[in-house]
Amino acid sequence: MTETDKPVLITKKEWEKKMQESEISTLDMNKLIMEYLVIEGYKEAAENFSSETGLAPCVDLETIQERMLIRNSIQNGNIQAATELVNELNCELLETEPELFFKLKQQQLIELIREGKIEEALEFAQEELAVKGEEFPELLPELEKTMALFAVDLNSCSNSSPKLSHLDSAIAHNPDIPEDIEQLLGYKQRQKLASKLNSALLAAQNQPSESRLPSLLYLLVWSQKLLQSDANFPKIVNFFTGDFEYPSEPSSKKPS
Amino acid sequence: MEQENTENQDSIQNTQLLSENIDAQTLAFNPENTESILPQSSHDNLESLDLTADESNIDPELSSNLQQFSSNSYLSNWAPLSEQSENSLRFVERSRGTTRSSLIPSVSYIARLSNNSQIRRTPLRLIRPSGSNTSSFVAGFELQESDGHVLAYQHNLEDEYEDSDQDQEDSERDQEDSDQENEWQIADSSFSQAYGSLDSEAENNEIEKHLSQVYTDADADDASINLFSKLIFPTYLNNSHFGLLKKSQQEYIKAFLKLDPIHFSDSDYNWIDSIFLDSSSVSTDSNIDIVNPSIPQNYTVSKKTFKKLLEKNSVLRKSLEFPTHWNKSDINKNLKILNDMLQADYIGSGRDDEDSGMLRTNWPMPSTCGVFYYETTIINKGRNGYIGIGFCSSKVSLSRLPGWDPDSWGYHGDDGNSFKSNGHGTSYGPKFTTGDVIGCGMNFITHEAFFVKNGVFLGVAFKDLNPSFPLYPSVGMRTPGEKIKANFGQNPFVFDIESYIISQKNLLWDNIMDTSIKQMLESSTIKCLQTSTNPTDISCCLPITDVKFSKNEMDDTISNSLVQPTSENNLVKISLQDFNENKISPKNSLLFSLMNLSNNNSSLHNEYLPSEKDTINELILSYLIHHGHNNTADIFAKNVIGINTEAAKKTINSSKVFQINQLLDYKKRQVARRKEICNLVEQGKILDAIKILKDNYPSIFKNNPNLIFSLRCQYFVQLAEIANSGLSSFRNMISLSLENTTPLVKSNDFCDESNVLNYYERFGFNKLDSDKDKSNNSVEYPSRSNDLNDIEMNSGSDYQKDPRYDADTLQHDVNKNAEVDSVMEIDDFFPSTAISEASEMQLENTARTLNFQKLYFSDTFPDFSREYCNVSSQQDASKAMMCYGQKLNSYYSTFNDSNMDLHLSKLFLIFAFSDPLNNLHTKNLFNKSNLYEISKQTNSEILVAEGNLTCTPLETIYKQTEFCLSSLTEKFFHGSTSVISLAQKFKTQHR
Repeated sequence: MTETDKPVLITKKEWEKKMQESEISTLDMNKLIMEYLVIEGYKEAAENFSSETGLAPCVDLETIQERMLIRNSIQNGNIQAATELVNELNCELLETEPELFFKLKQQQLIELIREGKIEEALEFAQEELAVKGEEFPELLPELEKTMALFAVDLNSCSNSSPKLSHLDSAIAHNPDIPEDIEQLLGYKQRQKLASKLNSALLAAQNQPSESRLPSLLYLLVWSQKLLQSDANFPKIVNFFTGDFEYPSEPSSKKPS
Repeated sequence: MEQENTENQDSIQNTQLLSENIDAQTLAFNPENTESILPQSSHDNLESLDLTADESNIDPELSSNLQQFSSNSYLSNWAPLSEQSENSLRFVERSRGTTRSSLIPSVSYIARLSNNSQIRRTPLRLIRPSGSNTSSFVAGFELQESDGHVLAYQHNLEDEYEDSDQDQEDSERDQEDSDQENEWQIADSSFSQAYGSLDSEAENNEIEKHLSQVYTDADADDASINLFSKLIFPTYLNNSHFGLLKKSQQEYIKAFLKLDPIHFSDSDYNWIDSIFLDSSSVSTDSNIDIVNPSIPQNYTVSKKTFKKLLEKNSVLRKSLEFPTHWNKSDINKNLKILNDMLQADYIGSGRDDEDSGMLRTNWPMPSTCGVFYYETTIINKGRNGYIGIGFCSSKVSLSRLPGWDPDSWGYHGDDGNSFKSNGHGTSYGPKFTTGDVIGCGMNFITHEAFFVKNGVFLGVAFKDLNPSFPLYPSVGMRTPGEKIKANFGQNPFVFDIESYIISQKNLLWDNIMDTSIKQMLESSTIKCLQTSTNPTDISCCLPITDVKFSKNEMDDTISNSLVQPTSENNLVKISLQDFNENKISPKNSLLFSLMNLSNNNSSLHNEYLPSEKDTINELILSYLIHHGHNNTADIFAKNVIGINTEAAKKTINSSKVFQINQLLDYKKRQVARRKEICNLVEQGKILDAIKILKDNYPSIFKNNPNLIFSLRCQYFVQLAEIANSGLSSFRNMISLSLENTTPLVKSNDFCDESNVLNYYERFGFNKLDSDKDKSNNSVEYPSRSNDLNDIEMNSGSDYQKDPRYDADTLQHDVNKNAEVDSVMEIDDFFPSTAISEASEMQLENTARTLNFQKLYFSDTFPDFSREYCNVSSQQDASKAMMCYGQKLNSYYSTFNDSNMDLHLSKLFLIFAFSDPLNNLHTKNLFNKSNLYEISKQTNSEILVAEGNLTCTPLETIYKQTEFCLSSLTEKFFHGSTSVISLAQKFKTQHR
């Protein structure tokens, strides 16, 4: 995009004025942070933050611990343990959320396959998953996808044992395996489930199930991108420092 | 006149206390007396000022000290009040949008001002007229106390009657910001922003355009319009920027209409009330789309009144630029609009397509409403039911149906086809006929249009609608007997438009959350790494990332990237160096990024990008530290690391924790030091504060000489206070400002090095370091001090290039005695600079990398001369004051700064009076709140000097996002951004 495509220049001065007008109170920001700490499970930090700011945590901090245990179990691949913990914390949750229950079972199956316990996995799939699939037809496509894992030669996936592919795009993508099936084996799959479960648990406690702070990052990138096609303006170019890149003002000639 | 009186009666009950500092001594307000003291002025006589000082009805004991003011006149006429008494009271009132025309509504105020000198803050009482729950005026007071200090009060009457969100926000702000004056400014700035003036010609054109929508030129001033159609507020708009804008004006219109007693009777008021109250109350009930339908729909207002209303402000006009009815001057001759401006009948011959007729609305659909929606009822399908519903530009010929021509789009009843700018329809939906209600929606978020039949969504009809011209809702008919009636929100919609908008909003959010921030993360990381490639600066590193692998992989990754042997030695070196150079700040050192990656960073970021959560963690940590939440920061850092690494690598853990602790310690000391300085200032220990400032933040002396100047003036004032006050208070002062201070400021302790070092240790300076630095530099001292006077005149950059200050030449080993001697020697020539210079020496070495030389060499003010440091009696104090005053004068006169000169001459007025503490002219110099002000300034200056942004990256990101969104909406009229409200999402609200 060249300079001529951006007819409007928002000068630094204009921008500074706007920035000064914009304001978020410390209280609001603290609340956002508290929400993040609670939802992400930083229990001690939340406790301290509460005492340092006088802001009451929006939730019983004890429940954070339990949620975190569940999250960690899933992230470590210990689905059985996670399921038990969920039932301990909220025995009705999995009954009222059949999709979540299915996802847990699905993950458990994936872990079995990963560990190479193919026979055990087959048995598990027939006994646990298929039933769910019959009961809730909308889950069938997902079930099919999972079953496709049996058809995949996992050893070709990576050296010997199927590892978690943790990166957004697996470095060495195996062309023989459909991408969406390969994704099932990824670490992201565990993470997704963990987040989903976390949200469900929070929702069951009548808590906001997602912290709002991360969306700010997306909103920033999105809105800067959108504004970019209309105007030249000072942009944040560094998340960590909040550093800006200023557009060249008309007087100064600068190659773009 | 009758009405006036009832207003007064009511207002008594609505008495409201403005000041939070109501003193018990103040009289209770006696409602029975009010009538007599309230002005009887009429609206015709706005120029007059009504000031009634009625003392007869008031407690006789206090009546002499009490004056009551009331006024319902112009602000400009309130000013003379200030000359009425010694406790002058100045009113400043603004009503939204009316300042320019300087029309002040009939709001009455009664203020009580006690002359009792004990009551410093005089409570004010604000009384509103009856029905004041409709008022939208910002009332403000500036209370000028006898000492000249001005306290500003403002109160937004709207507060209690706005919707709950607003209420919440306001009260929040009140809580946060107890500083009244500050608040006043806030009110002020938003005021001018919202109601910025237009040049008058453009303004007139705008008004004419509005008027022409309703009146013809021939209409007399008292020709009426139906105000109802103007004021409709479909609640689906609540989700958008346009809706918020419109909403903000409703109160205003309501208030305005109340103020026009010529045209409105009592019943009118009630009606207007109901229209507004309804519009806000329905917002909570998503099923009702319009204002209470029971209100009369034939309510009219004269052209004159309407014009008056429009003249008020441009925001109001903008908020009215919304399709509310058909435009009777934008219609084909084959059609006829009925009186309600909503129904249109076909009156042509209907022989062929040439006899088609179309009509458009009064205004185009505003894109900032996000989604625009209207419904059309087919009253009669006529002969053939050739009815087209849609929208088009203002240029499209009116003898066509919508959709046939370029720049027009429509859905036709006879075949159910959609027409997109040409005569050939595309199969789209069902046919429609008599009795059907057809909805037409324009989605500015997705740039799509859709239709609805009898409440059933028919799907997207047109895509990629992003024309540069405005679009008007339009309907066309072709055969005799056809009749339609439009509904732009006057009546409830058949379709649940609100749910539709909410689902669109959610989709938009999904979209936003799908935005790839990877690139940004990458570039941010690279930027951080780039900083660290500078060999002199090794404190910058990659943020550690959320570790999200199994243990096996952890090992891999860690050995690859994370724990490249960060030797402990290296680490200590970094930290000490950084600490001493004030170098660690959120700007150049990431908190979770303590891993030193300078060796193999090139390969790193490819494989190892921070995640969104790492970023948030980073931002939160810098926020916590910035705001001094040290414990939380500490634990948060450990929590994040602990959770992520589990028990995987104890070693990394410990080294990371160690580093974070180091950083936190440093930060803590920094915060503690900042707080200490500010406390010192607040307590009046100015010299101590200057001392620490000089030692730790020399850049302030260069960058903000005004702050230092203020501090020094303050010290002068204090000396004056001591000199002019009794001994008891003097003792007090001394103990406050001098005795308890560090040994440094005591005379004769200058050269006692242990004291100096103790001092440094107290403020977090490493003894070893200062020792070393001192010995490194002090030999240069005499010559440099001499140079100083010359150099001061030169610009700092020249100075920097001076080879004598090259690092190498300074690295001489010198023994300490020589240093001390030199200090003593110089003491004779520069009696005052000795100790301060000596301490500056210590900083010199460390500061060199930051180019600080030029910064603190420019300040040679003798702060610590024993002539005025060593004050032990009142006489001493006067002497010291004289001496210090002279120094101030001679030093700062070289700055050639008119403000400084002005302040100095004010300051030296103290010499002129025998009792400056109580003299009217000098009294306010001794006001203790000055200290608080200076302390606040100092705080922010230190933050700047520490390299901290005045707000944290997290807050910067918030502000920038808000900037982008509001620019997109207000400047470029994006539909998508106009349905996103940052405040709604991130600020406190009921969840």
